[in-house]
Amino acid sequence: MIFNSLEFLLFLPTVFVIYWLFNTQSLRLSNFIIIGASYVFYGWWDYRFLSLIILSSAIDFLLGKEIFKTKEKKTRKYLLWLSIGINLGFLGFFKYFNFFVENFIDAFHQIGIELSSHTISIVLPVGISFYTFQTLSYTIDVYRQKIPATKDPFAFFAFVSFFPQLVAGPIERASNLLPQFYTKRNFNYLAATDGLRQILWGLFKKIVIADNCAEYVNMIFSNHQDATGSTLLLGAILFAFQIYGDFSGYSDIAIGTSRLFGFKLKQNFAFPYFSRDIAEFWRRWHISLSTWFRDYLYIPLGGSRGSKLNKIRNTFVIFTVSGFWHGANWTFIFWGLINAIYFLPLLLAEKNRNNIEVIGNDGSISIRELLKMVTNFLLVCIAWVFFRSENLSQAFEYLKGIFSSDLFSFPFITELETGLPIFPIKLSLLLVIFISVEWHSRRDLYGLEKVGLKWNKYLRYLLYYAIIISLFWFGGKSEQFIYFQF
Amino acid sequence: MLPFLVFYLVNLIFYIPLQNGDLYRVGLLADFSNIKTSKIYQDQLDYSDFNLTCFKDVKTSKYRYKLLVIGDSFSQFKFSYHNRIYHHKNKVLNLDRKLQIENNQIQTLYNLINTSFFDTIKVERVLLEIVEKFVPRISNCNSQSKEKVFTKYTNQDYLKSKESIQREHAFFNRNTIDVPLSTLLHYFNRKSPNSKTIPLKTKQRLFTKTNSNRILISQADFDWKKSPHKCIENTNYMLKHLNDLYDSLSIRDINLDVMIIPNKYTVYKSEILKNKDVSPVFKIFDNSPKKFRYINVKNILINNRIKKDLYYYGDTHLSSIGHELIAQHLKDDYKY
Repeated sequence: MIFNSLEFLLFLPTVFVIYWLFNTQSLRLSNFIIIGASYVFYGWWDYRFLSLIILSSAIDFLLGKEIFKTKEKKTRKYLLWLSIGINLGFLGFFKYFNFFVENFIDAFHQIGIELSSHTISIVLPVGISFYTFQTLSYTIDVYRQKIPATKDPFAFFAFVSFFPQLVAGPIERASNLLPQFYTKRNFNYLAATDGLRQILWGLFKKIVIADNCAEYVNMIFSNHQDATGSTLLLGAILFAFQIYGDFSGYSDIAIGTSRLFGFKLKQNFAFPYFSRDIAEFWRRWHISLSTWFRDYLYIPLGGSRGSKLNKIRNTFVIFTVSGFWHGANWTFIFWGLINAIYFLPLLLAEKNRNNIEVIGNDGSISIRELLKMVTNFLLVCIAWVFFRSENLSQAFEYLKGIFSSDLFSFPFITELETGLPIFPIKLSLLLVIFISVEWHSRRDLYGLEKVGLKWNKYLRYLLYYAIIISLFWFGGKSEQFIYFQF
Repeated sequence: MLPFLVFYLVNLIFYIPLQNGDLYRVGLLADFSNIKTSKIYQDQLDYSDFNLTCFKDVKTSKYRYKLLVIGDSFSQFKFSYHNRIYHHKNKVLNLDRKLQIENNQIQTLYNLINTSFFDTIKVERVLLEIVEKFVPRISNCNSQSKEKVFTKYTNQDYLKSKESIQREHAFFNRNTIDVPLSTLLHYFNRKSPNSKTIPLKTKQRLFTKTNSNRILISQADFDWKKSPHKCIENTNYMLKHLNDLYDSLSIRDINLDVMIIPNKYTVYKSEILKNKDVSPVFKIFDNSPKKFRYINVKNILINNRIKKDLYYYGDTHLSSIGHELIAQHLKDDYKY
């Protein structure tokens, strides 16, 4: 079930009541309720997906125990590689099998050899990219002796399947989330209300911002051959807001929901579009994934140490793999490569850690910083074109269209039904309000965290109801969460 | 969230169910009487089976079909006109609108011609049916397109259409708060700004279901007013394509019949107090040169002595009575 649905709206309070009702009885029961609820949540898509997650959890639980128990380094390494092989094997099969087969056949076709196609109809289990990475982080951390292996299967299964973050992250580290299943949770009213506020803001980002941007993005991308350069640029910008609203909105709902149950997840998005360079952007965008790749791939490869060639190699590897993680399509790989090209000059000039604090943290912002922010945002939008396009040729065509003579004309979108030109005025106003709130809250954990807290109670409730009504008023163009396909 | 859940329940009971008329679903008044099955709805149940072949069931070209029907939602139901013409399944072949190219009957027919459909499936005549309000929307037809029209209604297609209905009735949807608000507003203001349904007063009682002198009309019947020039342009554009299609079909010895189903407002205009203009579609069709056989459904319905229950009260579609009139005309006048 998805977060912005009636099913979830009924599911969440039911689980909440049952959970806190039985929470005082035993920790094991409490974790068991989490597991049960999570499997219901996950099985709602397709009950067949459950067998894979249960199997994956069981394998890594047992392997984790063995790795921890074994003293011999060679055996421990072998068991770790077994865990990596199985997890990536699952991921590779379900996500990438057909991609490799099709490209293999294509490559031979280019040299005149025709091979018969044996692609199979594979259903991609929702969230597989997320939970396999989560369990991998566990076995790797156990191998590195950063954390002990857990002996509690309930705690481990609950950690893997924890429903708020199961299907689209944040990818939680065992060192952060697993210990929370060892200790009894106590209901904290302030944490719960904060969680509700974060859920509300997440729904706003998804339903009002992302889904409304998607409507125009779809119109522009499907008719990109006839659109002006300025319209195409508008499409890329709207997609930037769509993917941010969609993904960070989901993360907000996941984090907020966790707080209702007494869990604390890590921040996954820290207002990335206010970044002044691409390095800062990657420290603020999908933090759980980028830190995962940093800790488990980049650093083992040597990271930023070593020769310039090593740095370049590691940078390209990390961004290409990150792109590939997003999907079995050359467009995602290219998107990763473009980000690598953006990042490399900063790394080589050792300027990749220039902007650690959020822009204007001391209350003042220079024109130079603002320009850097806008330039960085536009560069990110150019890269997003590859992410959104169906194939590389569409992406290149789209970019060629942006950089054409009518780039400085007034943008308009051609409405499919009437053929009339339209400009998204309502959406533009919504975006202005949204950006203002996010800008105001850029030092906080999420947009609505501190907004209205010092106001009069009735005014604050009016604000919440205005947001709730906007969910219905601007809703109805429901698009699936983009990151579900990963 | 509780008030919104209540609103949603109201929607679920009174508006969302597909057996309710589409004018209720786009928000006017709750259909409190939907539990009763009035006689006007009963006779649609008499047509419990299809007397025609559905496109998805076509397996061989064994039969020579008298008629291939390509229409919209008016050529959809078991009680529709096309299911009343013959009593044998193998005379009429129906191309479901879900299988058509972008819901465009003209484009679909072009594609059937260009993909040699008529070389494998034998048909004597093609009947193209389009409702008046959709005529101005037809533009950008590609007469050379060779995109294949699906011959099997796949699971994916079913899932897609099921998905779009679910999306339309999702909880976080404007309809959740719109529809009950529309209902409330209609008690104070005839034309609720949130509703796509307009109630109008009539000179006499035209519907058995409500037995009142009121008629519900879809906002879409007046969409042509947003751009009258575009409406005229697209109607002429469509006529040109229909004449071209006639030429292409004639080469194959296939006749082309075209039927424009009038909007509910067009048929009942004279019965409505303070009536306004209707779209120029029929005027253009009546006065333009046509190579194809044009079936003037507007005249069939308007000239009928009995006006009552030709359409459904809470729906934009023809009732059984309306469909029977058309079927009789097709059977008698054109000797199907």
